Amino acid sequence: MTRAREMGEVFSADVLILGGGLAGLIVANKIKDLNGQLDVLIVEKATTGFSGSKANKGAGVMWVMQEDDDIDRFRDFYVKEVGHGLEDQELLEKVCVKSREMVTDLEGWGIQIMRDATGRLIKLPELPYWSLCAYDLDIMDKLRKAAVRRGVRMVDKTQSVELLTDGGRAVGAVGFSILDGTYRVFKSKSVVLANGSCNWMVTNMWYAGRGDGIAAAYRAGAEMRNAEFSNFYNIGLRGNMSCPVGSQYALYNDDDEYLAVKYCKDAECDIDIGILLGMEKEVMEGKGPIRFEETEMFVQNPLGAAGLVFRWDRPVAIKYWNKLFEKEGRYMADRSWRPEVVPAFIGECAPVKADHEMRATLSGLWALGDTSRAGTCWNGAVPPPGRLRGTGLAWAAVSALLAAPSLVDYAAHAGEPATDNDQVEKFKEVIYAPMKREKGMSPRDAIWRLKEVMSPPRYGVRKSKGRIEEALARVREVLHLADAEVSPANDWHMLGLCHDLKNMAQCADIYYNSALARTESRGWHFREDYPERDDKNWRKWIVVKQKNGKMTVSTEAFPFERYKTKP
Amino acid sequence: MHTIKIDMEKCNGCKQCYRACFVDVIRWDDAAKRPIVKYPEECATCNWCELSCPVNAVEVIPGNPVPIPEPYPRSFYPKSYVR
Repeated sequence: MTRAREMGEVFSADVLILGGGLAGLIVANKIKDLNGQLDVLIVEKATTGFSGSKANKGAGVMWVMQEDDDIDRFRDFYVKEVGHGLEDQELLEKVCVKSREMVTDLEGWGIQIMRDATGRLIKLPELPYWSLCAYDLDIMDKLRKAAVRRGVRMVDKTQSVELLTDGGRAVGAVGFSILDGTYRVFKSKSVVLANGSCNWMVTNMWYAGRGDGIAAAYRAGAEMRNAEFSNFYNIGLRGNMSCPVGSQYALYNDDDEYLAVKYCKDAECDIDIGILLGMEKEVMEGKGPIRFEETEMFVQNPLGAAGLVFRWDRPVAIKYWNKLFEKEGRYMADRSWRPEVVPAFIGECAPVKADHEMRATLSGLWALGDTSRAGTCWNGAVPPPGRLRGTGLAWAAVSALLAAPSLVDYAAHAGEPATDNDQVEKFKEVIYAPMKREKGMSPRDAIWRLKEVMSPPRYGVRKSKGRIEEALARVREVLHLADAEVSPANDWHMLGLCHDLKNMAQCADIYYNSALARTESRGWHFREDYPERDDKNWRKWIVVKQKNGKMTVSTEAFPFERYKTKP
Repeated sequence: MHTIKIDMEKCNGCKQCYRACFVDVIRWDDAAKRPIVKYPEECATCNWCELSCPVNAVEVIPGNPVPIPEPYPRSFYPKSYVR
């Protein structure tokens, strides 16, 4: 038997965190605050503190429930308008309460949170049920520095691929350096997935979400849940996919008919599936293209609230957004009158099943942020960001804070991890297998084939049994390409893309099989063949798991009778 | 495809653009102590490399149009191609 050290570089830790984005850095800092003796290691594909898709590349605003925000009122609103009765209401309440601690912790780590003149967090009349926690876009840099000060170790430019297991327990991970291909073995008492959702590389800001952690957990036997809600869309300008957030109230068909009156409720808190179904219907009837009237963008749009992005004195955010708008103006703007818009697919597959402490179903494994947003079920029948902007980042923080105490406790009591060297050796073969194909299809071309399945509304908005089966057949073709056809052409970056391809295709397989099982329409899951919500049969979550190499799909009833809001 | 231009005359070798890239577009040449724009195909035009550069040596030029699969292909939406 070959020893792990002879196969590659070996690292050990008490807590191994996969992903150095917002969730990974927050959980690392919190664990160190709770127990400074624990050895915490972050493994990151890019550079810890710069990575992640959203914390330093968005509006810099988190959702938060301030002390005097009414949780009962928020829960009633959420269940009725957003989650459509499929949410874990008990976790929803815990998330509300924990969001307050999030503000305290962030400030403790040196993050300046924007407050009004009286010291309160921001409250907007357009968003009555919750408050906003705004920060500057240097948050990642500050969190990284806080983690370095606390002794958190970091291994960057390393793509983690598989989870090491000992029986039913996660005891580490293996991967490779994207710079020189070195095989890396990480042994740990516990493993934390903090490497994001799967967004299938369609829309820019979500480009890094390639389902690495989700697919690795699935292959290791962890359960996935609520994956049918992996189909988030914005509305984007055709040609550059720049997303005018909230533009659903400023759309016209080619006959100059205003669409919101037909397809939107008044002042929706964020984009709903109705406008996407409506846009497609108009195009189907020959009334396209759909056009965007910029002057009306903020008329009914709560997200327009007084220009959120430039509202506060945030030097980094202002620099970032000015640069982005300058580029859009110079290179990307469509200056035609009422430019055409199309559905801009985002995805957000986040199905790792986790409990209220973020424990996945595999012992020793925790899942944070966008790995488990749907799988924890607190957002109900809607993909992340759950039709509440700012909850994606808040969830990254809150899930990390919910997980940290149990991680610390586990590290104190769990035995040392036992690594199976045969498994380490087998994974090494699997990881480098594509390198044996010196010639073959480029993984970029295969990824394009997957995007052609994932992004059109035909497969993502208006579903039916026939369409889902069509999509699944195409996904399986891509899985075959990933397993047998793609070649990295002796390049480590391209080897990474080969694994991204496989992970993204597996996430697609999980998503479409869940969508096939849910024979009703609810929230963002619309089935043309089952157009009505069916509370009698579908007050259940769908669970997907891999067993002996085969996917199993089952359902899980939830304790609806215990929940306070009865929709 | 997007273009990332780096003015090597201005570059001071601080490595910030290499660290800032979250999608492995920019690599580091250890011998020359300068960045290499190696995989522009994966660029997400987030501009963080440009914003991080202390000497304004980096410029990201977004491609236009960005290739995305046709959301309404002719075969499934024939009426939309009549006008």
